[in-house]
Amino acid sequence: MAKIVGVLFLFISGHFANAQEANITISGNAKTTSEFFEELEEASGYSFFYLKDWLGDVKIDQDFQEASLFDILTSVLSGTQLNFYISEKENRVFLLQNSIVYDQLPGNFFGITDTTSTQESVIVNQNLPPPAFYKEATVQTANKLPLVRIGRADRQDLKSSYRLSGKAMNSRTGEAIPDLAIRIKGSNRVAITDEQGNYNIELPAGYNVISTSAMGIRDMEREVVMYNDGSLNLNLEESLEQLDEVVLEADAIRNVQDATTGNEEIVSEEAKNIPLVLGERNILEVAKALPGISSAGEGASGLNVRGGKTDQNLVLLDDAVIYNPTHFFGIFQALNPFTTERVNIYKGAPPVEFGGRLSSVFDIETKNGNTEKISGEGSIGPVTGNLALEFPIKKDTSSLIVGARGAYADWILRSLDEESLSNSQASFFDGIVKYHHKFNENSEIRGTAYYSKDNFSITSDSLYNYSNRLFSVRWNHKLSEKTNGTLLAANSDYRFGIDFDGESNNDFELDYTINESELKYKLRTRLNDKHNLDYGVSAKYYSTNPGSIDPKNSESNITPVDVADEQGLEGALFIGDEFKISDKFSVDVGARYAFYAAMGESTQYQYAEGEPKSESTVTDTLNYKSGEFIKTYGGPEARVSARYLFTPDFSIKASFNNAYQFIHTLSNNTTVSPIDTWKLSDLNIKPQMGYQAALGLYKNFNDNMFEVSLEGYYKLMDDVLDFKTGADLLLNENVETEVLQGEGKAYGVEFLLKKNKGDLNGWLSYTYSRSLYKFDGDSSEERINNGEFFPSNFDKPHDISLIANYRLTRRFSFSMNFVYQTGRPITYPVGTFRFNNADYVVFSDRNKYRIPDYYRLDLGFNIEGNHKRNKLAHSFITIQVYNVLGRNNPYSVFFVTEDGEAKALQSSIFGIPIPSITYNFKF
Amino acid sequence: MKLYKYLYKCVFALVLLTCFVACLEELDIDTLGDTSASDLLVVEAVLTDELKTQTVFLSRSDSRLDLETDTIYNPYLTPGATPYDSVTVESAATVKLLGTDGSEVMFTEGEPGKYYSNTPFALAMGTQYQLDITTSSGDGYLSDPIEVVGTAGITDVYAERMINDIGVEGVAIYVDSEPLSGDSQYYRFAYDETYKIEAPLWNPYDFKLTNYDNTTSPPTYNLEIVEREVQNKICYNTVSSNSINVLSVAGNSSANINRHLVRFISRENFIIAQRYSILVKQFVESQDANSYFEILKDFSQSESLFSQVQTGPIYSNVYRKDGAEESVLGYVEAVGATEQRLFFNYEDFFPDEEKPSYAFDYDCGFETALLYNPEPPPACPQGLLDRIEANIVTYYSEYEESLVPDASCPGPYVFVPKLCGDCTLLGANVVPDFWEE
Repeated sequence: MAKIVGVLFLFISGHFANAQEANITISGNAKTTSEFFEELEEASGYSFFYLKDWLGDVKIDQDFQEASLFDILTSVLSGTQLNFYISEKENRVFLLQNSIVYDQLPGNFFGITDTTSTQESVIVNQNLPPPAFYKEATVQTANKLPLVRIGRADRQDLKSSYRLSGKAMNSRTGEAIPDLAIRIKGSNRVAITDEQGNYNIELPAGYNVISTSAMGIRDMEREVVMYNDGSLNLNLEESLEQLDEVVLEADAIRNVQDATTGNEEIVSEEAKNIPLVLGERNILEVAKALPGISSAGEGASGLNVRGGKTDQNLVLLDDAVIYNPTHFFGIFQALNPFTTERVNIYKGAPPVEFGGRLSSVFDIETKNGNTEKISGEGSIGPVTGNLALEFPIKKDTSSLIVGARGAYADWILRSLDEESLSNSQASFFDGIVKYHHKFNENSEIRGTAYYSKDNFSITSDSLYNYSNRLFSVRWNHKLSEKTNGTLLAANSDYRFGIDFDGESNNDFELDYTINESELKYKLRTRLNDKHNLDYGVSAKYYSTNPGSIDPKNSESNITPVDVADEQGLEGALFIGDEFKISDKFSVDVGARYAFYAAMGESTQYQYAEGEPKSESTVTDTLNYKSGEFIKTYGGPEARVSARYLFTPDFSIKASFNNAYQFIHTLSNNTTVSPIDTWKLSDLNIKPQMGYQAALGLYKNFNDNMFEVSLEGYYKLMDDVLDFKTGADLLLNENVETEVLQGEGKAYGVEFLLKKNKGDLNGWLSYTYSRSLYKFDGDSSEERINNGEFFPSNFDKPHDISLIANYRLTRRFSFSMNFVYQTGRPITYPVGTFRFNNADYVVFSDRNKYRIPDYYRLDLGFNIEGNHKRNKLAHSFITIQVYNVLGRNNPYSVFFVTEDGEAKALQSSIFGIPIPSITYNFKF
Repeated sequence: MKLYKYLYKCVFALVLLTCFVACLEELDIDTLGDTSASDLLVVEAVLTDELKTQTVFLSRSDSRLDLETDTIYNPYLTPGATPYDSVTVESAATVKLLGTDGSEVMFTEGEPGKYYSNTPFALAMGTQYQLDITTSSGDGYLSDPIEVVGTAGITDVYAERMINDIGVEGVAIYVDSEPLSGDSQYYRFAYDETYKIEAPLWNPYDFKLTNYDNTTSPPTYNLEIVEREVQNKICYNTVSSNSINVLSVAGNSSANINRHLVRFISRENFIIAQRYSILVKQFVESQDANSYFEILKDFSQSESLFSQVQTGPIYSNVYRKDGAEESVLGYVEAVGATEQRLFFNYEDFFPDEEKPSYAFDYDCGFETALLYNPEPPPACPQGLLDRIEANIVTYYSEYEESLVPDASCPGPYVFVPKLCGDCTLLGANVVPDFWEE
């Protein structure tokens, strides 16, 4: 804007009249503004002072009858930037741009004066701002833009500060500039533009200097005089910047400010120092060091989140369900550590898009490949070799990441002299490919394919295997300025098999498969500063082959069995709103409608009402055609969480959620076994339901160096599954006759202290929790512990984890991992009896005893290769000792009858210190 | 599944250290802390469709973990000084079997806890039976109705030399069978094995000690070498199976059973050193009985080190008559039974090969000692007279240096531990009726 140098026209008139007297009749019709003012001057007898330019935006189209000068001016100037001042003494009217004329000096202009006399001059407007005196600079600096005046002062609504809003745009491209910081000089007030470049800042009335800064945008200063609320759009130029070391801290305060509770994030790369068994990186194992996540014991696969069963976790790898994310009984993760970016864990109310499991969501994300150059990462450890390669397909646009991993334990086992082990076998591998393509700013697609397989046998007669296979495709696209859409399709397949070839003539092959396909479309709309909407729809189709057994040869005594396939359809509609009620108070409210239909083709049995389900109480056999709905279940799910900030780094949060689960594992083991099958809800097996409420306090200290949180939860579960003792679950066509459905409750308090920065970092977590279940049926077979609540197999009230890294120098660091847990409950015999010439123990109440407490210390020493620039590969060596104290932690105590004698056996998994060295490299 | 069944030492080695992962150790538990299930009635009855004297065994559960004294031979303990078995039996009960056909069979206690039918009888197919028990304290118990659901015939029992899954060489005994009538889907196998024992250092003469008084010094005694009055060179011992061997051909009741393994005996086991006989019993049982035995088996073996089966109460098919909540242990079943016997000698499978060592892997050797040790006792082994008195040695010969070279305190005789010179410690000296040479 050019500087205005205008000509001042002064119109002087000799009329005298009182401005408040209603004696002027004037018509605004068919007149130009200047004609109107000329006429008004004449009619009122006042002299008007103004610049003709100012009248540009004044529109006059009404008539005034017997109106006062004051009213007329108020009326015609409303909606303009102009104010007026009527000097009664001089019979003059001054039109003013933006400002008002102060006819009284500010309160203490002359210092303290006589009380009585000041009282008379008390101004009605208590919050009258100090006048904005501004001296126009005669010389303008080159990068300074002209002064802007905002708003029109309104005597009736004078405030000490006004709101300035507007949009920041790139002057070259016209695009919005997000994340632009707008500061007020001399104050610490800052505003940040949102994704659409919009900002909103409170400025003190009067003269201000605002400065803007953002990455890639030239800094700018702007003088602003605030008369009222108003808007100012900023057109900013680009700049080239020399980047300094960047420390990203954007997420540092997230734990306090997010409205949701019970969220954890583990970044694979950051977890690399944590010592774990055999030097294997394992983010799922690291997750167990966080409060509220545990497992039944070392070598027990399956995680228990906040007292939930192991089948209540939704584990997603790039949006597709991974049924068994572990290798070899849970000791190793089935994820390539170098392709895995992070895992987000939701223990409380998960985002509305997720559902179908009661306890938690583990959302594992794979890295995008490098779009610049070929790079890779790998490791060689005592058990596995890992490799990940990243290939750019098209620079800056598309890339491929390929990961492969394998165990060479097989080779070691075979090379051992020990006869009993040379027949053993244990091998596993997993591989992943992810392709990522960015079409443009508004659209990107990625696809993932994954496969993992385990083979193991300890005796030469049986070979077990299981495998996961999944595919997923995700398309992110921008529908409008405010709305982003994501379309995803995923397919997962989990199967296991047993190949038995023993000395007895019952050789067989057994197979189990579950397959699911999901299609989901979700949208995110940023309605305004206060509302962010997430909504969408998803549908999932399950099909399982609950098992088949076939004789391996025609001589075998095995009778072939093939349990009929099951099908199910799961759907959901969801909507959620991140609602920012005020700066301090925000809520996430979500609703989800979950729907499930068990589908034919199928044969279902109806059992006599009120009697234990058994083959003898079958009243009817129902046949369903292919695609026919057998039974539908479903209902609304709530996801509500709220956060109140006491201070920017101290908050309180509360949440409530409920969920339905339509798919269940059938397991009659105390811990997860790889041959546990998944069963879909059907006519006789109801879905599980869960309700959870949580409350927590979150505080960051010392510039986010320390995070402290204390969270409590209470959880109720309904229709969770358990089984009659000794239930035969595999290949059972009437499996519902073995199933018990009961209730569960879990509660706990979780404390977490985290130090995120500095040479010494890590966390300390403590959880007190209980997990209790109750199965109270009609007959004694359908009751467990007489229908009373009993502790679950993973009920470990006290759980302490300490993880610490100490960086000695840039290259050397120490790390440690300490765990203490109450011993898990076991079922202990209460008597012995003689039967069939042997002694057998009698069991009665479940989980009445506990094995001794568990504790373990692991230490690691990490050496980073030197940081020379042009080295071929960058190396990283970890030397670790697992279970340094050599504590022989009992894993289980159980009883066997051997040669007619009953005896007690105690097993332990890693009873002695286990050293390992892993070599990692990166190029 | 029998995964890991045999691996009680160490299971899985990943690194070059042979054993560090997953170890098992036996806990030394004598008595269970919780005794809430001790002293419960245990009923065991396998009633068959064979015409014979049927048996019902009644006992009580205990709070001790192990009801059997370990069968480890101690050459310094008098045989029979410690009880071999210590099961609390339930005596003086009234036991009868009631059939829906109006039959009623009474049982009488023959040995403590063992009740034998007053007359031989066979269960009839198509008839349901209930076992009725009234204990001496007056409590009445009744079993669920049971019936013989099917029968099957054994077509062959045979033995083969083989190496088993964990690399042990021995003899495997298999059975073949075919269904005969009814619903034969669930099978259970048991056996009685009888083996011939020959005392390796037997001598037709033995010590006869009389008037022994070791309270005086020197002791008074009268020791003679006399010809043995009882035959104790060759004995026969019969042992019943104590493991659960079940087989299901559910869904196919017409299936033949081929090569089902009934028993595997390591070639190191002394029971097959001479002549061995096995009576294989095949029971066709109901689904309910099968599931009882399956669960009992599942709960009493280690399936996998990493995941154990969830144990809990196993429901018996016997209840209190008055409806009182009382757990009863054991099971009463009605089976279609058949049996077949097989004989073989060690040489049949291991001709001209080394024989297994003697019972308990005991290395039988000659010994000598002073008749008694003069006061104060010198550094000599226990005197011979004390050992004869304790009944732990048998006579072999007069002292002969070549038999016991470098003996520290040679005495007048060479003798051997009783186990080596008298087979009645290991079996009965009567040839069983069925025995065929």
